[in-house]
Amino acid sequence: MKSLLNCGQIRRLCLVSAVCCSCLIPALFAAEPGAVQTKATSVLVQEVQDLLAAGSYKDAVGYLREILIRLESLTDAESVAARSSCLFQLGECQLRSADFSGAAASFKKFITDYPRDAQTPMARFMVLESYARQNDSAQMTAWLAELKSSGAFAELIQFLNDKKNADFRRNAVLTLMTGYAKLGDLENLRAFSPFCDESVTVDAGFNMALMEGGDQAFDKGNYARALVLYRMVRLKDEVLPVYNKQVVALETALTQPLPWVPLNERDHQQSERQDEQDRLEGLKQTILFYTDTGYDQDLMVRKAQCYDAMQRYRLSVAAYSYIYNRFPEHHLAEQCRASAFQSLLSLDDQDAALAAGRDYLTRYPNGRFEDEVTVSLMQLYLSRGELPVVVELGRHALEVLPNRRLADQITYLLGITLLQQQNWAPAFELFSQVKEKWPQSVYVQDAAYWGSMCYLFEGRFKEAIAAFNEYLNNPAYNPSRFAADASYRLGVAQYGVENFAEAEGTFNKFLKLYPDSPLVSEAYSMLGDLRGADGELDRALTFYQKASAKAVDAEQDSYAVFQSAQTYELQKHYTEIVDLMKAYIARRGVQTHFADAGLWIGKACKAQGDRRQALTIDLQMLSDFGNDPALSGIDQIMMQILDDVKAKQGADDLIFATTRLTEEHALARQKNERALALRLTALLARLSGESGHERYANELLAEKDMAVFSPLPLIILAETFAARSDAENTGRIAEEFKARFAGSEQLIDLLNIEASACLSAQQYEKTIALTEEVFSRFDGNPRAILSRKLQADAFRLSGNWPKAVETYQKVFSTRTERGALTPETLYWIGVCKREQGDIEKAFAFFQRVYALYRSHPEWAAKAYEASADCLQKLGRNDEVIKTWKEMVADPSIQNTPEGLRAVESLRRANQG
Amino acid sequence: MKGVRIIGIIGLAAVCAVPARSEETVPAARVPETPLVKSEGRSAEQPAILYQVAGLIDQNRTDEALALFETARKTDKASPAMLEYLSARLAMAKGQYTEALQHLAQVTVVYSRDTEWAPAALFYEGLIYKQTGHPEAARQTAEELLLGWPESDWIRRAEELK
Repeated sequence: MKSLLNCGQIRRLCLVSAVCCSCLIPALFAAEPGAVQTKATSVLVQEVQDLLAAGSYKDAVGYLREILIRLESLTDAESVAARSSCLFQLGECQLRSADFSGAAASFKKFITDYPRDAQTPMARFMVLESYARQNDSAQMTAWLAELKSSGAFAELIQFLNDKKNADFRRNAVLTLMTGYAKLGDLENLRAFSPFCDESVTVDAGFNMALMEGGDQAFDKGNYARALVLYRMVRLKDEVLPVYNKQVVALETALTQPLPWVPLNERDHQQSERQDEQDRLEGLKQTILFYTDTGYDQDLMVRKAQCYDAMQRYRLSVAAYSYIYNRFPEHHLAEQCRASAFQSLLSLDDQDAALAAGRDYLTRYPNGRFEDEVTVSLMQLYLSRGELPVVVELGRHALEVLPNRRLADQITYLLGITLLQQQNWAPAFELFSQVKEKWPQSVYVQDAAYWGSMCYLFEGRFKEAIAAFNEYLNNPAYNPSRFAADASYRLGVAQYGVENFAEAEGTFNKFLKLYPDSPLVSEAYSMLGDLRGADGELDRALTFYQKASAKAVDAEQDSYAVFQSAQTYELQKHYTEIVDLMKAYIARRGVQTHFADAGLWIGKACKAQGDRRQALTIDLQMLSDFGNDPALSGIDQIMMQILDDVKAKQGADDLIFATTRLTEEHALARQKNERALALRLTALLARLSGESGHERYANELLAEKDMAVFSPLPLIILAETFAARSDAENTGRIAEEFKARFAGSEQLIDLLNIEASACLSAQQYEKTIALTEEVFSRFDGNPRAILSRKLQADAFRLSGNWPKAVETYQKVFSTRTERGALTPETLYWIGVCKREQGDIEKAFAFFQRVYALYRSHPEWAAKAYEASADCLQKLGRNDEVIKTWKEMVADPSIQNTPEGLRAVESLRRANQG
Repeated sequence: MKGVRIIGIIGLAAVCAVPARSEETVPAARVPETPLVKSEGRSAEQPAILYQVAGLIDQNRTDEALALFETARKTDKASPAMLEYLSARLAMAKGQYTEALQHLAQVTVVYSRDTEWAPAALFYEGLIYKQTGHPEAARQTAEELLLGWPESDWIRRAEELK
């Protein structure tokens, strides 16, 4: 900024000082050389002029003050004018020498003393500028408010708008805006933004100040303000064209020869040229900064971090991914990938987070955030129960770099994972490693506790007792994070070594010390078990009641309730069992263990000879909770209802159940409880047999919203499609079932239905694949024998006789009630043998069917007919006739298609 | 003996050692000459048909809006910010909030100075947070809308987000 004291004013000042000289007191001249007070005014004026020309503004301040004092008492117009000029000059010198509060005071005095002076509007602005330089937003705001209230604000704005002040405005507004930007003062930035031309908005200092203001707002937690400030920052592509244009203009100007000036102005001319040269260098440096740095990317990261802090994670992911997708080689890309991964974790978008985390590890195998990403991935997989992946990730990380930064945490997590996999010994080993290798780690205490738990889980109770005691008595674990848990577990370990008295003491001590622990319920249950084992059933019941009262979750409550039921059973208190279960269901609602509760109710009602009450309660549970299609306990209750009604085989019970189900069904429809209505329709379909099946199946078919289907309705729907040989729709239902009820016990039934539909559609390979899926998922399940039979059928129908026989024989390897499957399987083995040309063996299999399984006439009849065929092929015609006669003589076979054909064959033989 | 259950098996705090702020001085590195953020103040003139789409969405005539949008989006005149905004609104109408947020993020992050669509995008972003049970994010978005776009009509609706 140039000196505001122009030549005319200096001349005037000199004149004034000359006038003053004549009347100044002589004592001033007697002062020591160098002290301003002792100098003549003319000397002061000359020296201050020199100081100003040399840019020694700080030194000039003393001179200007002294001149002001000497002019203070003069009231003539010229003296007043000189004084006003001097006062303004003082403010500017103070501003230039960084005495901002002094400058503000001088300019304010100027405004007060000379309200009508032409410089007053500028002085008003200079006050603002002084405060801006001082970073004093409060004073700035107060000053602006003062201007507004005094009506001077408009004048200030007018001053800024005046074209004559364009040069001044640019500098002043830039100063102000930069000051406001640093302070993050959006309101004032907006107030002055109309006065900003392009040269201000692209100014590097101003933009850096915006960044700084944004950072300060961020640090104070004002994220919205930070974002708005960051958004105001001009980007590289906006800034560079302006700077490039300025460079070209400056370079052109600098190539021009200097015009002639008088000798005494040469220094000034050279100085100005040097200034321009310096400015050019500065511009080039700025261009280099914008070109070679990650300015824009850095700004984007700052914005992304704001979005993270504001929990607007989709936006932070978008910002981070924008950088690493557009600038994959940029050094911030790695950080952005790691940050996007963390944002996705915060969003709980698990699949996307897993992909992002994996991607990071692949791209940056030795990345700066490899440890953090690995640990977070391990935690995520752990929470999803994908334990083998956790182990693979952790082991790989430790193999590559055993002493990595977060090795303790990775080792600990590996231990936790192995613990969940019930690999107690290796888990214990890892927890020991944490304690030994990283004794200062924050995970040491946790490792000690879980190491003790490994012993407990492994059944090494003595070692567990020692470990828990060591944990509880270790002063290093103070404050102890697991004191309560370890105290309770110690009791469990003592119970494990059958030191019941000590265990009881430990549980009581635990209850006294930690009455608010979430394990209190379990301790009461353990005390109940101890008293119950000693035959003190009433005391046991009291403890179980306390356990229920203190339960923090359904698991603890359920344990205590079912232990109570067992105790009541010993006492033959069946009414209490039913009441207990009713109260439990009312208390726990959807968290009820429905299947167990239903079993206890059934058992208690049966013991009281009141089976219908059990059915009533089961139906009540179904109508109360059945509108949630995902509640698997209700699926089990439905199975119990079916088993119960079928087991009784009494027409009264069937009518009772059907009536109740029909009423509930109508009610569910009325209340638009569609999931419940479908459950009830499915039960009615099962109970109605062939007669009403079609009607109920059509009701199921009418429902288009698959989300309201629970397992049994889906199974009946699949059966309906399979019966119509509609493999495509059966497959669609199966996919829906697998997607929503992968853990259902009824999945095996659905897979069998699907396999059966595929078999009907001659899709033998798919049948085999589906049945293989059954074997891999439900190995040992009795219902897998149907899958064996279907697989064997597929082999048989595709002409693979040996494989078919081999597979049919596996049907007999499972010890279970097979019903009609046995004669059917034997029959088909016979058929396969016959096809292989082994007629004797085939005949033997057919014989076994009608000899041993005559109670299944549909298969006995087929086997008879096939036997006759074999005998014909063997040339044993007498035995053929005998076989036909047996068929005709058997009332259960004579009217079957095979029986009728035997009659016809006999007639023809007699005729022949 | 009764089974022993593990309670609170994972006691680890979430790990996030990625620096909270990007403090590093940026060393010399070649940066592709792709603009990082579109910096236009206001979108270029939009085809009227796109405004019809916006109107149909406001009237809950989603199917018609979608059909018209599919035709209109092919025009060269459509600004990317407006297309993203409309895509977001259509996704919202179908209850696809994640997809809607992804489109709105593009407006807010990439076209952050678009005076027409950036404040609108902020409002609907906040509305999604509110409707999906994220009140803190909704409050923060409202604050950004009020601070960043005081001259926009959308601030009149900012209270809805709080």
